[in-house]
Amino acid sequence: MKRYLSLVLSLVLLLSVGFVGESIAEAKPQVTLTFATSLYVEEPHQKVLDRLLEMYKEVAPNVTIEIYGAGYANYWDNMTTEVMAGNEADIMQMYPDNVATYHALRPNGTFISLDSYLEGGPLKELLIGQDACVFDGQTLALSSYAYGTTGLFYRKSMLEEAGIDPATLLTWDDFKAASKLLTHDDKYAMGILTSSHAFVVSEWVRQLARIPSNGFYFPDGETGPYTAERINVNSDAVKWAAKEWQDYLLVDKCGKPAPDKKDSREYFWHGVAAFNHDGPWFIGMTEAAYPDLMDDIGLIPVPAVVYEGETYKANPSNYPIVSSISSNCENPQEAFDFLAWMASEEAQRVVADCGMIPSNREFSSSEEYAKDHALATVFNSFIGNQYDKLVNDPPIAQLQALQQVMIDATQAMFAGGEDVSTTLDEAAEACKDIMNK
Amino acid sequence: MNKKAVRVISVLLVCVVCLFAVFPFVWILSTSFKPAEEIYQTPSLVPNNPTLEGYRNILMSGARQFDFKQWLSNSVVVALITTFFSLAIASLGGYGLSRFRFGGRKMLSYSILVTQVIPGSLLIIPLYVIMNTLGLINTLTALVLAYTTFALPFCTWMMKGFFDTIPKSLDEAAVMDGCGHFQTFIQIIAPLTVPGLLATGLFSFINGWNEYLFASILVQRYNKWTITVGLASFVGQYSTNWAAVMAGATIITVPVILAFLFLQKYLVSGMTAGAVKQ
Amino acid sequence: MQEIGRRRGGRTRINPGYFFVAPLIIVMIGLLLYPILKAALMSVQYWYMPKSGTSGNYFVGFDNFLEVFRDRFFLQSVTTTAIYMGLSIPIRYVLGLATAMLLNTGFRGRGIARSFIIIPWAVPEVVACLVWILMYELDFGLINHLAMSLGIIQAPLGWLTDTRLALGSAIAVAVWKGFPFVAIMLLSGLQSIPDELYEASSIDGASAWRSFVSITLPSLKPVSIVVFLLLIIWSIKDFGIIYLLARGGPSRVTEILTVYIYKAGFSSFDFGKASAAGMIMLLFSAIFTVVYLNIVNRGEDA
Repeated sequence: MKRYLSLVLSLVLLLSVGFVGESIAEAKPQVTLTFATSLYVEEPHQKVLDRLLEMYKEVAPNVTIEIYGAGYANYWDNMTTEVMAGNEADIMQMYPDNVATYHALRPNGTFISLDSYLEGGPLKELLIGQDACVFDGQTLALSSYAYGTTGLFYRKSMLEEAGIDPATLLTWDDFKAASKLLTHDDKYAMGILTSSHAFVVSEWVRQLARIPSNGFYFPDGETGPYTAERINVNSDAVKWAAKEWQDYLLVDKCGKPAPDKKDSREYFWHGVAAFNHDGPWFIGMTEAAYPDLMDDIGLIPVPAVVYEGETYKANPSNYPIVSSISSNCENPQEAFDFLAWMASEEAQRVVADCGMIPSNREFSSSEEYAKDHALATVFNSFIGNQYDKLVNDPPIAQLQALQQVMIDATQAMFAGGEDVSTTLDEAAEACKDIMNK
Repeated sequence: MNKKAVRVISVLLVCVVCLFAVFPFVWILSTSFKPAEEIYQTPSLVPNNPTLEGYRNILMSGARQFDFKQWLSNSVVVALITTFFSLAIASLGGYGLSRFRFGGRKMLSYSILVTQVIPGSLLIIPLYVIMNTLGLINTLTALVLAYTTFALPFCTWMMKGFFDTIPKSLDEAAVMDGCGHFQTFIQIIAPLTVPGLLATGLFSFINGWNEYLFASILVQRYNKWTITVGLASFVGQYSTNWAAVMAGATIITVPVILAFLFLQKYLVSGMTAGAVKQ
Repeated sequence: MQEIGRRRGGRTRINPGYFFVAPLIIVMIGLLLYPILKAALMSVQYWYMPKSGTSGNYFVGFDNFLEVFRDRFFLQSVTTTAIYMGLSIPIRYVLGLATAMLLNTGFRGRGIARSFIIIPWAVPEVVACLVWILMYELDFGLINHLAMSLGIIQAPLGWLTDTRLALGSAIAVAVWKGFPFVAIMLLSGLQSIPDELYEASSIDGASAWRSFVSITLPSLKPVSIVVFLLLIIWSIKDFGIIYLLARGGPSRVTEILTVYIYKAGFSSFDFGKASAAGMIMLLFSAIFTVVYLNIVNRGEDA
């Protein structure tokens, strides 16, 4: 008995030593990170994010990531509330448009600067959209997920029926002529937003207004100094663009009014509208909802604009999904490591399934990616060829307020048919007030 | 016009009104059984290809975190606890206002009414800050507190009305017999207001069950979402899964309708006593 | 009336009424009074978020209020709110009254009808707005489909996208959601009118309309006063239906005051201005309610 007992005891001792030894060797502190994103509620992204979190659990077992976030409609107001109360997530996903606004909500800035983490590493050059993450000389976000710019999707059968060769649609005038041919009976050229959504402005701006003016809010590609005097919304080029768009909608009636972007997509899918101005995410959506349509869908770049004799190439916005780290985060290094890992090839391979273009430049220009995502790769070819340097909205804190002014103005002009010159002059005054506030 | 004609016309008009009231709900039901393609086509009442896709999507979402059943149980818990606290505090308060004349009584009555006009959008940030300070963000407790607060003014007012209909002589008799005030309240008066309690309780439950704005702000973790917020999340940035949304809507609304059905008798008599005979 | 609160003779004691209302007061002070005070404070401070992070929330006196009054969208939202209330309240009342009277006539299936009527009340706002958005849809919406089939309109109408129709469409939804409450309240009022009154008047040879005017309406006065008060209070602070239907659009035509306040804060990021607008609204609503109550109470005491 005694011998048996001592055998058992020594075994227990050995095992416990083994365990303790193991855990000492591996003892990394358990870290929990909260990750806020508006994408989790969207199907293509949901699967991607779940998979990414699963994979990361193997890469860094001591890090637990908790994901949350309401849908797009509520996400921003929720983030405002959280930041104002100091209760935001460790990592927040958003678009470059939003970074400056939210960064200004707190005295010393809401986000930490990532410059020290990026120094000496490859990410600054490797990631597309990373240049949109610099505000006031500081890198406040990492574009390590995916990006997208926009183009014009078209229904091949509808264009064929009208006798239009998409390769000939090189300028806005070509597009207008084709639209008139496509608008008859219950069919339209395109769905056009008519609600209070920010897209009401951006659709017009990206396809027309920003091209000859090279800057809608501010000239020279929306660069600074961002002062009231430089407000550009009532420049001659923009006024011309407003009149063109107004005629397109209210005189030629080529656009079908849509209360939401989702509706204009449905019009496209159901053969009511021949064109859809959208980004690579649209590919993922179509594949999920109407996979049989994929063969009937083509893609051309946003046409160039001829204004006062000169031709201006399109310069639509780049929409990278970027992530920032909160200044309240207790584990910034682990947070950054996660974001940097998202840019790795294995992670980006998963990200590619969300429909947008992975921001890792090497991966998204690789043959592997081109093979599986033929249509999305076409976007890549636009950049640098048919597209000029992509221009994003100005990275200033007042952007949302400016957008609100322009939403009111565009609705007045394009839904209400009001005179473009006076409306834009008034809007410019309101914008100047905001900049001077 | 003879009585029979009046009867027939009345019944017809009732049918029209009922149709107006019910039809959207019928549409919810019908849409929940439609496949995605059918929703963006010429609308038909009966689905051409009925499917349980919508119900499947919402009940068994593939995502790790989206658990409709969890949301359902959250809503039930929040609504029930809110009802309990609302009734308790409102009965006490209503009884106090009904039976006792104390300083500030009139002002309290007025302020109860006036607080009902406070716009929710004004309270969002301050309320969030309070809840955050108390460490209650992302807890169901925050919702219970907020909903109780919002429901209290109306509930107190209703309960006061009920107590007013009960003659004070009963209280006096009890006091003569040696009962304390609280005893009188619990044992003698409160049981007489059961219809009022049911009506007020139903009102409070419905408010807690249906509320959306503050639920979407105070509670952001998926596993703490209530049903309304969870449902709204299916209206996505890119596309709306209408069948799933309507399936969820059906699931949310049916218990409420059933509750109303069983308790409507009390609702009517309750409202009568409480509000009419003020 | 003998007051229950005081014991005869002897020392003063705390009125037991206070104990009963204590929980109520505690909750209201903690969770209602404090947020209102905080909002009041914000209304006189600088809370323009893009800049206030660096400059702090310094005192600005009445600047926020002035900015609100100078904003034409504020005045527009006041007008819109007035129209919204001016239409939705009477329509709800009339529809509720008609429904209540119909339900009060004896016929089989009355219980079922009553249950059906309650459905709009039971449906959550979120759900109601979603289904109405679907029904209002331009091409695939039920309402256009039905109206065109019946020949009422030639072409589909943008119920929520046309600036001329949007407010009316929103009011329709508010009426749909709100009339059951009125119907139930008035029904209970109707049921408490003794039958003898009607019998007596019909013996006297009065027509149905006369009975309605001289018996029904006056008997319903107490309930109606309550109903109107509640309708007004609830309409003033209505937010969900409008916001979920159209977010105040298109072109701000459905932007009632509560939505204006929300957007001033969350879209324009000026929480000082939003709080100021909120305070203005609260002040007017409170004054209105108190005045209404005074008139009503004085009328009853007279």
